[in-house]
Amino acid sequence: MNKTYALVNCFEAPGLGELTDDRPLASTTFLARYAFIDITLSNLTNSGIDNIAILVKNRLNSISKHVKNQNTYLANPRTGSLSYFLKTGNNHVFNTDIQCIRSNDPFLFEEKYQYIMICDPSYIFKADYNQFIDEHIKSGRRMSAVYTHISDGSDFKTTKKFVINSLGDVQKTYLSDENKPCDIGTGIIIVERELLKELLETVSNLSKLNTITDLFDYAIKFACQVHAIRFDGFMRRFESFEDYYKYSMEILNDHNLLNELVFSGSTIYTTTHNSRPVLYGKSAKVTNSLIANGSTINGKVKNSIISRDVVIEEGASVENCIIFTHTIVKRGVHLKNVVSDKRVLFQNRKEVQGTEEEPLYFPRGVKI
Amino acid sequence: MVRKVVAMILAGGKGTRLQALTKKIAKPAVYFGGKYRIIDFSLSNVANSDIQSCGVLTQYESVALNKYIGNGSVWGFDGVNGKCLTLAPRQTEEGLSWYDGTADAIYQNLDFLDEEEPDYVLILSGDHIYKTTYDQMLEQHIATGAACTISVIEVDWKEASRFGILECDENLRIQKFVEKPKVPKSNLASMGVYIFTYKELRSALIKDRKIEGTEHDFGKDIIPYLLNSGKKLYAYKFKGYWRDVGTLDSLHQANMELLPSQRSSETINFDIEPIIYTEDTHSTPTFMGKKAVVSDCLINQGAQIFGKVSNSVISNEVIIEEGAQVTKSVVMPGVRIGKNAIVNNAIIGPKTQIKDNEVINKDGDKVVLIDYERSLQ
Repeated sequence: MNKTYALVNCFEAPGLGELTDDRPLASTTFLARYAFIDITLSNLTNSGIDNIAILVKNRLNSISKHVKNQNTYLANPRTGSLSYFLKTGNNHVFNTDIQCIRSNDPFLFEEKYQYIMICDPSYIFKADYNQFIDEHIKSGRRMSAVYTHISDGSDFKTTKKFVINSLGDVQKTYLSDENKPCDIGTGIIIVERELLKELLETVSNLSKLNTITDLFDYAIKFACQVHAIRFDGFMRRFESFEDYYKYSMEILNDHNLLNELVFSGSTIYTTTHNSRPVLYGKSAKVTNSLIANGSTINGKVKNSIISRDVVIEEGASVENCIIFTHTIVKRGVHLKNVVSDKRVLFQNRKEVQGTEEEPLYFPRGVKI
Repeated sequence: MVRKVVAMILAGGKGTRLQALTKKIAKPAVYFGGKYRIIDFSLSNVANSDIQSCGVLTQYESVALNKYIGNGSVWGFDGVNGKCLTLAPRQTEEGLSWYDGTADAIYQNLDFLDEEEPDYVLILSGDHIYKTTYDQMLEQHIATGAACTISVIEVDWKEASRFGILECDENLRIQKFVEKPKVPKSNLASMGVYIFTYKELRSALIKDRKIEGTEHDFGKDIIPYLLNSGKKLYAYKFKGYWRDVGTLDSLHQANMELLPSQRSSETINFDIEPIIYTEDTHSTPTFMGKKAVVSDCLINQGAQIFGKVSNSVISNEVIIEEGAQVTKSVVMPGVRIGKNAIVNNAIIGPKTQIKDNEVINKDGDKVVLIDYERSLQ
């Protein structure tokens, strides 16, 4: 039985502009049929970690509507569990990840859990988390953090970077937007249960507004040596709306990345909506695109990501776009560099174009 | 008053006319429409009729079917009052006994039905493609006070001699049942869907069991017996899309009817309720490569298309490589069609590998089946 309890922390995820106005990043559509949290939950399940809590800051309905049924994600829903943790009490000022955990702390007293793994769905990568736990155990440290090496740090402005010392421990963390190689965190911390219990109390006593990020920095400085575990593979942190578009297109356009993240290796689990396969009409022209079920395509689709139940009529074209569910693109409409939220109707304006650097965003339900 | 209905789905048929497709799996487990299996339609219809208790009678190559059905959670039979049991022949004090006819299959599971205490039993075949709820049929059954109501569909008079035909009066009360009549007097064909008042069914099955030389078949024995005993039997007229996919040609044809170019207003529409439920294969979205060409297709998620596909139904986890051309074909899950291969007018069975440059039925007008077994040779 796995001795790890996982916390999927939705508190620290950056906003993706208007995309996350009324939903958290965790339940935001990703690569046509998934949501961000699917990648994290699937990594956990595929690593045999079957006891999971999602730390929810707000908009629980959006996450629970997506996750829907724990049977989708757990290897064994009897021995495993998938719970939502919310901070109790009405004071929203103290709605932090630390107070959220403290409001739901019985798991911290369960001896069967030796390790707590904290992860963050805004970091997208596919990995066997068991290898991280094995390395953590081997290191003999009480806490570890997973990092990856990147050649250009300027893309990760709000993601913590690590200084790693000669012992292989994290010496300090910092923020920087310099264009140079660096080691950056992947949002994963592994910590002994007893140590986390102590740290939560200590750090909370220093300031009730402190967060897991503060706890991590405190641990490095004052509490323990934190082992740095290296992950080698594709990893992106989605920090903004521009990142959302840029990285989605990067994955779509590089077949090796798409293979690494989606098509090969372990399965990504997500809720099924029982949609039929996609209907492609006689006039359909579809190239280099990802398409989810339920859609009906009679127009032209190029370099695009199309979610469930989308209709693209004959004589319409969609290029370099990300289209969310139930959107309709009527005859004669040409979309380029557009991100369309759910249930948008493109009908009257015939040419709708953003740029690669600044794609146009259309919020849920609007008519264009 | 809530009337309790139990559904019994006959899924034991060997489906020999589907050739190699049913070599290792029973016909109801055969794939259909890129995403579904044939039995999804019956099971979804039952679930959508708010019937919570369901037995699936399996016999031939039942492992794949049993595994597929599991506890019925795919169709929602795992709710508080739900159950979905696969009922295979079993060994009893009288020894092991295979199901000897459709009626015998139900007879051997009377203990299951007795325990369920139904008011009515819905008996249906697990190998037909149609979308319905049985609510209206049940209402009619209750209103007429019939012992049995049989769902019928009007078929072409020319085709009528291929079916079990019901001769009815103007109120749809059944006068006579004739199996494959040479000169049909009616065009109302039995769909193999029956609602029985349980106590009538029970006593008829027990009587039939005692008669020597019967085939223990609903059409041939039970229905004539009830008619001869003066019981009230009514036909229920089903209107809509209904297909028996018992042969390679009819399976291919029914798949082709789902394509945009061949759809009519009658064709099964998956977008409107009731929904047809099927297993979640955790497939990725479909990927269309830079050189992909698709036209007039139905393609399920999990497929990766790098070649040219037209007038075809493509299932999950199918890979069609660059330069390959697929036309007028039904490609089942897990198939890889190699580079520059040509596939025309074919059914490609699950997990079959079509080699690079291989040519299948290029100009053939007869549907061919290429199956997994061939890949092993």
